[in-house]
Amino acid sequence: MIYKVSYCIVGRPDLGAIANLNTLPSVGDQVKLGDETVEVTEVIELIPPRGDFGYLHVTCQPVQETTQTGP
Amino acid sequence: MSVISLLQRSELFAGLQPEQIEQIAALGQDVVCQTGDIIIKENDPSDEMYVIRDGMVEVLVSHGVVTDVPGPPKLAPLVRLGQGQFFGEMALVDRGARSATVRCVQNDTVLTLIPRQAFWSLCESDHHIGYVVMRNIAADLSFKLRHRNLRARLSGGRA
Repeated sequence: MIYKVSYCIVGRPDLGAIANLNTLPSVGDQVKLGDETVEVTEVIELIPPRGDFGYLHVTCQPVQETTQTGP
Repeated sequence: MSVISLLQRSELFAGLQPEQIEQIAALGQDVVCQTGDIIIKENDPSDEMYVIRDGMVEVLVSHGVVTDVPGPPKLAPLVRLGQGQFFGEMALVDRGARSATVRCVQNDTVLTLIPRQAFWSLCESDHHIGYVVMRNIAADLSFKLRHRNLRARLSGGRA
């Protein structure tokens, strides 16, 4: 099964994406969308599967970069 | 991933026989691009479509264009597209100018370029290929609209 996934990122209306995945995405997965990393918070079926394709919608939140401050 | 494997995994060619996919693969040319490269530009003439073999691109549209203000128009991102997705397909359908700019956002992104005229000739000689591809383009445009509607809902109508 190939999963065609629609990504929406909470608080980032400029950063939606569509990509094919070989495995079913799950809540907690971290995904790289170009130069941005996001974490999956919800996965729903967008439309019924057709042939070898499943169609999903995934909601994500940005992953906060941890920056080390001085000693 | 080979061109044939890529095309088999792209929804655009779902439902085609392996030998039909091989015919399409024979038309394809590989293009490698780096972050920041402009692949197609809004309002340019359109002669080909692209399938993303690996990497990611960003689709942008100009907005707020004021004709008497010099300089390039501001570009707003619409969506990022990853492996298996395709763009430039509107050129296959309406032969119009490019409706958006597409920029590479991941180094070593690999695209397969499919020339419109050669692909169109193949569709004319094998109507099953033409029917399946046009049906799949319609399904993809529907998916993109659903994606856009969901983003607009999430952002209170601003997407």
